[in-house]
Amino acid sequence: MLSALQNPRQAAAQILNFGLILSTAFMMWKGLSVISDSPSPIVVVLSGSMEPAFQRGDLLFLWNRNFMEETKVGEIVVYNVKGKNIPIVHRLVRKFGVGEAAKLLTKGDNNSADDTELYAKGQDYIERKDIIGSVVAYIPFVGYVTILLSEHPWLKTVMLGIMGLVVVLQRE
Amino acid sequence: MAVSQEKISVYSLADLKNTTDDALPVYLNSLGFVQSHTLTDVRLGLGYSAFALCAATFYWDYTYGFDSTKFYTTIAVAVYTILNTALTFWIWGVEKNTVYVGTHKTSGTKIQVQTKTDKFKAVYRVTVITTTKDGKSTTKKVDKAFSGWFDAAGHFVTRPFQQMLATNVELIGQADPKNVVVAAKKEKVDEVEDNRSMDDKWASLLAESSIEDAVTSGTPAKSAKKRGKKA
Repeated sequence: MLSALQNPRQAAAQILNFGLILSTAFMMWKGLSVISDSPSPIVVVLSGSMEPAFQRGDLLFLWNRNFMEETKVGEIVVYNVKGKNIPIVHRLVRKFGVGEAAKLLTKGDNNSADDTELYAKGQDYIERKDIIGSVVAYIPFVGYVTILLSEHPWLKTVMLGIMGLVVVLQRE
Repeated sequence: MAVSQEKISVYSLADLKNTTDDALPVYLNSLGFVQSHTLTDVRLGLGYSAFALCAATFYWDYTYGFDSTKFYTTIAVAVYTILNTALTFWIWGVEKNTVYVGTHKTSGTKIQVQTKTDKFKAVYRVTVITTTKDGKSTTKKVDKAFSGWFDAAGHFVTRPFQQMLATNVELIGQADPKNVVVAAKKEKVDEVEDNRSMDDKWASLLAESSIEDAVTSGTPAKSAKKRGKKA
């Protein structure tokens, strides 16, 4: 343990091992991002507005490329609203026009009204560029951990504590 | 000096191997070998450039957003993949668990030491590749239990470790004749082809057994204790 610090090469190698774990995870995320053309290719459902299709905590995989056909009515899309940085997962229910300038309207399957209320002030529709991807696959429930962590911050402390304990108890 | 101050857990194979790996360069450097760090330096170079690339990607993604940096991110991901593949190849295909590369000051002979352990087996598996100046290379494999140079408390005992290397590897033996143990002769007897007369065989067998007796009477644990007292 101490001898590793005396040898600069060994110390550098040990730091590198840790750094490469982080950087590889980040680059895999970016790779997925680039392939799917979406800034956030995996999202977690935060609300029950799309029940019974998606529950809170479902993990969604997004695809943001239009091969052959445009994004069409009926697809479940994830979009960003100007001024809010929480992406919303809802179904595309109306489409007026074609191409980039088409006016799109979305609605949650479990909501009684469409999303005009959720859009920014004075905004009545969204456009293709607001969408960060259509849902192509999902894994139920596994994203619930992130919801728990963001809703109960003390859990983060507990988790860090447990990790610290593990590191102390098993010296590798 | 003979016994290390630091103690390790003798049940931890990683500790046994790491401590021994650390002692190896110290010993070989003291014998007049000049250590070469090229293998490690290339690995560090590849690894840190990959990491730097990742840091840069993170920075521009964070500052300028996804859409305006998409092109550069794509290139960065491709280059990162290449660098990481090269790094993996370097570690598995070129380094192959090498812990020491060095050249002897006077003879110019190159030595490369690779070490590994098998899971749940406290055996140090050493491969030594020596290449003389005129390009003749020999490979020697030695498997020895860690108990040969760790005492029961987990102290590293220098002398038996050095003897193990000097005895089994000819090049190290030449550089450090004091540490070559007499028992090494026994191996040579074994190697001799059996086309001798019955009397000769008997004689050699007797000689062997007497050497073995001599070796077993001086058990490593005892000798380690003696040295411990001296130090």
